[in-house]
Amino acid sequence: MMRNTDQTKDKRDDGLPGVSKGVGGAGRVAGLLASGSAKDSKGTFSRLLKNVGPFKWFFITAIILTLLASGAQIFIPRLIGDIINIITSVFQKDIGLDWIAFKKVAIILVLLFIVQFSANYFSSVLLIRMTQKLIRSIRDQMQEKLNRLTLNYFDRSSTGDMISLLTNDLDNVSNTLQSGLTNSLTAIVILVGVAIMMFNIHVTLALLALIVVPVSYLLVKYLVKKAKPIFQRNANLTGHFNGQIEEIYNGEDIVKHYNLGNELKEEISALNERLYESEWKSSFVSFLTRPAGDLILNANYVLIAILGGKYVISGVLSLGAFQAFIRYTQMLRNPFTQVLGILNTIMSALASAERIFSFLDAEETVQTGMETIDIGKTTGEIEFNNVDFGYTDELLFKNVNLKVNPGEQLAIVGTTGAGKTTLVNLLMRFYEIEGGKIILDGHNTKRYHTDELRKAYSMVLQDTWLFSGTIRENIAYGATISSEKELCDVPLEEIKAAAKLAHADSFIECLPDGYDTMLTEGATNISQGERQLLTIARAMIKKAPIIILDEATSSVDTRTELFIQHAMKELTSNSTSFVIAHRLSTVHDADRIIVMDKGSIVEVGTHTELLDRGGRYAEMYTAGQL
Amino acid sequence: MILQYAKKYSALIVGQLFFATVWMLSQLAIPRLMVDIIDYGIMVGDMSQVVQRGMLMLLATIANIVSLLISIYFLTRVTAGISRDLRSDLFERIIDWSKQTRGSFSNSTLITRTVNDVKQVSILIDMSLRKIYTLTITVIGAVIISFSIDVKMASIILVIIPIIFILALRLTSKALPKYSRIREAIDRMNQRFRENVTGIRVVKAFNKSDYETKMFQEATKEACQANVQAESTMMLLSPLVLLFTNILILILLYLGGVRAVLGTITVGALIGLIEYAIMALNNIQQFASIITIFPRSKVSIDRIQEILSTDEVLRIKETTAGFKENVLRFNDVDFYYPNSNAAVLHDIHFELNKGETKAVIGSTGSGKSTLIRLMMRDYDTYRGQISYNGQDITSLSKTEINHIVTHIPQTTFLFSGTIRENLQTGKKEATDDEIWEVLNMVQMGDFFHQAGKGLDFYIAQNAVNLSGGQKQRISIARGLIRETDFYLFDDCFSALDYSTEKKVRQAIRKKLSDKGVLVIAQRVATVKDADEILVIDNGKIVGKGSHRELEERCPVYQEIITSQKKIDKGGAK
Repeated sequence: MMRNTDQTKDKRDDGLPGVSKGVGGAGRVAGLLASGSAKDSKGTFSRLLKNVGPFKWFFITAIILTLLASGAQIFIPRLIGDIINIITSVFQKDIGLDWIAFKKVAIILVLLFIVQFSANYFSSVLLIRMTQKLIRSIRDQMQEKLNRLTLNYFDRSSTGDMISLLTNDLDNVSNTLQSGLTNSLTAIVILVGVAIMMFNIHVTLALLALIVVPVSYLLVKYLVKKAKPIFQRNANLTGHFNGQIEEIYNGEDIVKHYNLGNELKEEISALNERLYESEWKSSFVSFLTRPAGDLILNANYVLIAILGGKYVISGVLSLGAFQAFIRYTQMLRNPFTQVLGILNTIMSALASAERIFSFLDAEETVQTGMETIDIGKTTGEIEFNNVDFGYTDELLFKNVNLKVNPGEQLAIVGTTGAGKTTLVNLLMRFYEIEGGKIILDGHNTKRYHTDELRKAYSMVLQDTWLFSGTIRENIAYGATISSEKELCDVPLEEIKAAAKLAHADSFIECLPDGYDTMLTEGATNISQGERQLLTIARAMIKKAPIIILDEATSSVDTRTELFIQHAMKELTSNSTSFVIAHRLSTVHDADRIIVMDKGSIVEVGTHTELLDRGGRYAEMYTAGQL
Repeated sequence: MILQYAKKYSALIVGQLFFATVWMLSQLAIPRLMVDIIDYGIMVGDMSQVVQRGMLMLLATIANIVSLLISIYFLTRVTAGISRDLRSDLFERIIDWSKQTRGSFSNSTLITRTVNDVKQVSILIDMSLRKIYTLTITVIGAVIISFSIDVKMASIILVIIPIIFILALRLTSKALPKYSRIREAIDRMNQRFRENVTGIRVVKAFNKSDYETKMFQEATKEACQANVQAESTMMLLSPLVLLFTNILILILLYLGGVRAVLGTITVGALIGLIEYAIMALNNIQQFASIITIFPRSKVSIDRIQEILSTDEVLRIKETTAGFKENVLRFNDVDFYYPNSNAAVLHDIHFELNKGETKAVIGSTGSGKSTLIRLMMRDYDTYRGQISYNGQDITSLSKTEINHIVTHIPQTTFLFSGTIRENLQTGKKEATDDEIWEVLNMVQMGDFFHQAGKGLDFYIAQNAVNLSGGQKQRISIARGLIRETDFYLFDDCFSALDYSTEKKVRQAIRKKLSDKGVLVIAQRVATVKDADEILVIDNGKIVGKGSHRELEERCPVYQEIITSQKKIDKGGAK
């Protein structure tokens, strides 16, 4: 999908809820309340329909069945009324019961019962199947989208917000599709059907009965409007409270050791008291709409009973019709409240759908080339030729030139923000350069498909990302496997060999389950140093001609640190390597060192050369910044 | 447990139940009055009876609404009140726990318990008092009134009720395990998605997008299937109940017809019976779908209970005051983690006088940080004696200890709020001048001057708007602003570069020249200048002395030096 920059910017604004949504849950809840309506409901709606497309027939059948069931529901009271009339005639006319007529109606009734039951059941089942399949397909689309997004997107969105799209927003859409829509449909059909039946029975009574509809609609609407600020306040307060609690629990040491306990208790207790007030008020108010509606409906019921009674006595109305009418007034009760909720439900689902769609529409990485690469023949010669790049409109890299020979080890030093990581991002083509060329073995890398280009690289980052799975799977993750194969198809010997080279084998074998040890999310069940060794083993198994290493600075004990050093050496020994260096030893051993500052390469040379030059490097060295 | 909390609100609850009963009774009365309208009014053509009963119905309606309002008022106060009490009891208990008592409760489980579990309990109370109670009353009431109308016909209703009830329960219990399968599949799916987001660079670098997609789709497929299965089962419930209700009505009509010929039933009675049958069955269905809340809430209740029954284990002992002296003393301390036999620290013996700077060095896992935990009295499970100024630490209250010693922890934690508020957690009445002074000491003064907002600079939650080094320095400043006799720096220079660390340490030395300072570190450079260095290895002090002395005669210290030299200078050969 190609987009010019302006459009991209627009997407940024109306896309995901920003990171700065506030503290704790407060922002989120407030956000949900505030974002009750979609900006382009029509567009979103038609797009949602398009997604329903493949399941069109499911949907249409379900709707027909729903209509059928509601129809049956409307006729049943009337027919029961007929039977009652048959029975009443026994008393009024003093003749025997007309069993034939009774039987006739009863048979129709039984048929209607069966129709109603099966239509109800099958329409729900169809809707569930449809919705679940639809949701599954949207989920899959979202995940696939995830891996096609530009990294820019990740830089400006929070993980939580993306997850929330997958969970909250999608749930919202699925609930509406699964039950919300049919419930509303049933409600409307019944409302209309009942109205027709009522008019059919008696016009005056029907008018009297239906007058409640607009009256209680207005009343409830008024109440909901009045109540909204109360709900909102409660949601905000709840979010605030949860945020505070979370923070205090996280700051356990400071809270305990700086004597903050009592002060915080007072603070939380005051907040809790406010929360109590708002909580009971908001739930009271939310219940209030019901008695308000009930009052009108019930008062009306009494009026109908009296007036209807009068009509029966005067012979205008049969007793069966009267009974049926009473039933119909009762049937108005439920659909009525549902109709009131429909609009809100649909609007909020549309808002959710819009958020999901804007995620699905976000800018994707553009494939500039489709060529494949022959890894066996790649020597690992890399050249930056007048490279321009910036994360924003402002360029960070201007005319960067650099040539690295096959098998050379290049150390990159510089302060934070100097552009070290950017260099890596560009090599891996996580971001596309804006000017100039990056050349691999004499070919402009733009001509390759990114998947192909990345086969040439192996990478170890400071951030030791591992996924929840076994150690074996985590190492195998580095191996190049075809898409039909599983991670467990990577031979264990290969994994063990990589672990050995990475000096990770000794600690793995000490674990109770060895290579089959399950790592928890974030791999918190092994130490930071061990995590680093695993990421090195993972890079090792790839056997790529070019290695990118971001040296670990996190405090691990010296023994493990030595291991990591050894492992990194092993990893880089046969390849061209780029090492973001934090240790003097790495710099020392590197074939060449480049010093970066504010996006430019300011110095290039060996350790001794650079020291002798007495420039930026020498300055850093004496200041102990290495 | 819930009963215990409910006790405080017993008056409100009694009120709620009373008005809920009135509400239900008036609800039940309405069809009954309808029976009379038909039988005594309509059937005999007496309009005055119709109007009279109609008025009674209106009365019942009004009573119905009023009692509903009152009962809901009581109800919301009870549920919100119990939630409030639970929240505050949980919070106050948790915040008072020592590290030892807290044991293995993680932050996230504590938050879940204080927030989500309490919410679940409040839903349970609301459901029990409002729904379950009124549903039960309605069903019983409807059956009783049916019996009062006609015993024989009512017994049919009575037979069908348990059938529907059991059917509903069976369906629900069949679907319940499937719901947990859905939960698992969805958790797996979310986890994969989250990991895909956080590891996006690695996923891309190793070309694993397709693999991630495959794994994700397995989870979504499973979620989809489990969902379809569970919901298809549950969806049977409501149409089935409706079918039963309709059949029951037909049976009642048939029997009514037979009886009408015999003249043993009135039309009004028949209509009334139908109304009550619908009412009873409808409520049974609701009852069955609500009842699943009990197993779900049980988990929450148990988890809350677990917190509330965990009492603080550390006690303040009464001892005679020792000599007044300015020293922190460890006297042959052996430390064991609670419920563990393996000692983490052995024979720790040292003194820290005011005006001295001592350092502790050792590799990770050697027990350095545990020393500080003991000094802060996070744990009591040790042998030997730890004392401040001659007083045994176990005889001091938390507050007293906190007035003697300042701990600057390894993991930096800052509150969301302004930088001023954050530093005032160190010293409540600190003035802006004092705050600027310590910020300058940690080389952060310029940063906040330049940032424009001065001390109103807002620190976001988890301090995401500051770098690791900045957080660490603010944390140090917050410690320095406190006025205590001793200061413990727990490996809190690790994110600072050498030159900044040097400046910060110089400032600390100047400010704390007459205090006792203990610095814990992994790097030789950090501890080098201390008056005395303790080398800890495997929980034992294996060397004590100045940098020079240790360099000469302590093998572990020498190892540390060489390993760091190797890393810093010689490379890993």
